[in-house]
Amino acid sequence: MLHDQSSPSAIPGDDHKEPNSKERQMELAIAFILRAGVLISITVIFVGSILMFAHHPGYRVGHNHISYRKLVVHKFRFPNDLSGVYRSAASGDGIGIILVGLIVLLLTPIARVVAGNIEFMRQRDWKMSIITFIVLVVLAGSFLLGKHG
Amino acid sequence: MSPLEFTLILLAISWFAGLFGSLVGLGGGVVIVPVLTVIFHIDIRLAIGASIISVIATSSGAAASYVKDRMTNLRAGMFLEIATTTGALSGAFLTSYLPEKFLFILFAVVLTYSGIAMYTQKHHGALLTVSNDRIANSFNLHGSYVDKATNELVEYKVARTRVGLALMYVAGMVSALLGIGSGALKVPAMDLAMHIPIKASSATSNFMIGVTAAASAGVYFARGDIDPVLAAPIAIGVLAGALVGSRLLAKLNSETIKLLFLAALAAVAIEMFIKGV
Repeated sequence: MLHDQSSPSAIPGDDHKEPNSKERQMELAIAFILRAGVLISITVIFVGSILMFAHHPGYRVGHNHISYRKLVVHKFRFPNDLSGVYRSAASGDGIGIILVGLIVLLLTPIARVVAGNIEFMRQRDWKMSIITFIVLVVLAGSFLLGKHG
Repeated sequence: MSPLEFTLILLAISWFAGLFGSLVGLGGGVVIVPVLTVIFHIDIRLAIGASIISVIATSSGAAASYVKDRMTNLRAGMFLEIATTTGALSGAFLTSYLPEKFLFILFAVVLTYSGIAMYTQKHHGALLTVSNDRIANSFNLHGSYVDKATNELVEYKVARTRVGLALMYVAGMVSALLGIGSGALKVPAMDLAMHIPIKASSATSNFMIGVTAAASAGVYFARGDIDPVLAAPIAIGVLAGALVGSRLLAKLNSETIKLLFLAALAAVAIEMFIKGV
């Protein structure tokens, strides 16, 4: 009997050939979250870039374009908190929309830690639930402390 | 140069960085940061911020396929993330206190090490059938995967979790300090120290890189070090290049590519070192 102790009675329709179908469920959920997050964020970043160049003739090639150097120095201001990004994106600014995409990308791996945490709790694997919860606390800390550090 | 031209050039460079990075098993970050700092004279902190974003994109994309193919040791990965994320948080903080010159020199050292590690990956940790590591047994970090070449189920036990945790802390810190995935540090920690087979080690390393990078990217974002004008073309370019690279991987003779990349790495390492001293 190679079944794991936690599931002695199989649910009807459960795949008997897959002894760790719960594990498989987690794997598929994680793979989906990662793929979807990357796809959505890259699309948003792409759209934001197009809008940025569409709205700023000076960013394009021409006689009166500005130098790229003005945009890639610390003096160039762009929103660096969630409400600032929201305001900028809501006004249709390309840079704000790029930042929304970057935040979605940043949240993608975090979302899969959340998924793992929920799945471990459902499996009543308390040890791994605590471990994944600590990781989430550290991740939350990075946003909070970055502001004050 | 206008911003549009700059964006298109960055897109192309990032595409090549992603392509070659995935062919030789190193991320695009090791190429992006030197290109931005040495060629375009961009502040190393903005370069690192843009690079860490591309690291999240590529590692998440690759991790999705590895997890689906059951190559990743999810439990061990999630356990070790405690160390990689705390390391990343410490590293992201240190950057504001460390002088720029130190970052350049550290980059040169890590590049040199990565190059050597990439070329001499011959000795592996032996496959264990029993383990008396208390942490690994208690959290059941052991795993298995199906080797695609032989179609055999490889079962393995994990050992020396404490050493693994310590090394992962260092790997997380280096990743945050330099804006790279630091898979070259994570893989040997799992393969040599913890006896996780090399294929499972690299899949699990990829899995952890995204979360590690997210921990430091949070700090960089709040600090205003993630410049959208830089990050956008780099994220798109590196990801697109890495996708092509992973498809080409099976068809190409990687020895020649490795040698070419090694030569490039050496040149970049010297350049970064000179900027540091």
